[in-house]
Amino acid sequence: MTRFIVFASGKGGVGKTTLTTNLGAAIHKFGKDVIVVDGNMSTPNVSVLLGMPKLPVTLHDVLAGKAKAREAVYLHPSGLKIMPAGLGISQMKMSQKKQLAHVLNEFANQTEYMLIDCAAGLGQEAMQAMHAGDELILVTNPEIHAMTDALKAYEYAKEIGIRPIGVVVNKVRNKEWEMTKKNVEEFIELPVIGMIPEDDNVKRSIAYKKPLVYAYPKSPAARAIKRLAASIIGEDYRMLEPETFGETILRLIGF
Amino acid sequence: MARKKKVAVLLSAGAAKGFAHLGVLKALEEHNIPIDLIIGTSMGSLVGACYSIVPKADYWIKKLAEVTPLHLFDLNDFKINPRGLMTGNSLQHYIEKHLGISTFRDTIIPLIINSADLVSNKSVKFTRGKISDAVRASGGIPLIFDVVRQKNKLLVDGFVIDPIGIKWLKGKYDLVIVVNVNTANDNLITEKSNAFDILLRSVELMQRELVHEKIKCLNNAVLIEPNMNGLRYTDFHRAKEFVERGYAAGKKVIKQIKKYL
Repeated sequence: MTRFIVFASGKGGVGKTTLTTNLGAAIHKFGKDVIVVDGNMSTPNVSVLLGMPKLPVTLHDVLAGKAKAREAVYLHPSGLKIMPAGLGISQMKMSQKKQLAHVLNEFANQTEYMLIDCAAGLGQEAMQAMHAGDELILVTNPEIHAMTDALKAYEYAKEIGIRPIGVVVNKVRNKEWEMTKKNVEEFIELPVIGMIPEDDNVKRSIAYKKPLVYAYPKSPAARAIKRLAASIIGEDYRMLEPETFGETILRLIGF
Repeated sequence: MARKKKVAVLLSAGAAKGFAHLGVLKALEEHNIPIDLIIGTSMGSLVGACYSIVPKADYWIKKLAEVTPLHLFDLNDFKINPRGLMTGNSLQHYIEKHLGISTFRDTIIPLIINSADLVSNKSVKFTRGKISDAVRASGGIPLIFDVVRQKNKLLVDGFVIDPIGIKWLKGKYDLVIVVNVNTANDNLITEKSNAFDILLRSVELMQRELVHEKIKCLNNAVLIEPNMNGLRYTDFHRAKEFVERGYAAGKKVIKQIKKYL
């Protein structure tokens, strides 16, 4: 059974693409078969983040009916599979003959997880990507405007009948002006399944064109992402790597 | 389980037989075996360069099936030259224009190209600069191609010293996949064979023994030798058949490979 999980935020720049690719890499680390789909058709970035910008066949060709879906899946040296969208402006103008949901359905039962990175906003593109998913993860930042946009995306998802898994709060710095976990849960009325700290290693890993969880596996953000991956696939995080002494203490006293 | 296993792939020299490398890579790709390093020599360097830039075997199979000997050996290439019959310019042009391969900076999988220097009598590696230059230096078969001059080096085909470039395998790898297409099992040598065939077979045997000898120092190597029955070094127009042979050979050893991962 393949799980189609779509990542939406409403607002742009909250870190959807980075989170989606790294979550894919983390789930792959647990030994699962994952494909990360770049559903962001006008400004795709998944392939750039992983250092694979010059790929010949992309999702655009598949949607235009010029190639088969299989031809647009690439194996990254880290073992993660990606389905990139075309970077060029000519590809953006290609006429679309197929729906994304229709294309992705070909992979049903052939892989374990399909992670779909959605476009920012709630335009045609984002909606198309949302239709391709069965489950939704809302990505947001601990600021009020990111939260309102996420709420809007959530309401749209409810309308089309996607099951929400929860909210991931990204780029958390634990400052007093930020919204807390409790605030977010009250505002969106969904459980917060992950708080990813703001971490310079994320930007460093992008420069090195490697997923963060492979480049800096022990950085705070990578740990948070791996823990999130474990909770999504229902595995024990400690299976991947033993927790540190500090983490054990925190867990025992109930944090 | 936390650490990702590292896999290196060594692609041997072997002119048209090197198309079989693509078949092996396709088999690895189908079984989700990611590659962390490719070392290529001669034809192995061309296939390795293609795959390290776009890691999708099917794409290159389609593209390389269009190759004709004329692409690689243009008539304009023949020059009266004391060092070799051809200049190799059209090969370089083909790599850059038709295949769209530019520099080492574009590679997704780290790539090392192996060549041989006749001045210092040592292997030479390429890891930066233009890939077409490196492939040209690595594929400069003596007599057929002009030697490549670089500073105080005279570069010829890498197979002369080391057909798989094992010298450049530095660091720790959990698995080393060696693809040797110089298997000398093509059944083409008979009493009627001409001098060219006999020369090629002699070189092939030398290479095969060299590969077998060199990989003895590795304890985690898997050797893949596709069956080349009925196929010659010069059959550039039969790319698809080579790919199939490589694919079949790759499929056979998948179980053995998975043991290491």
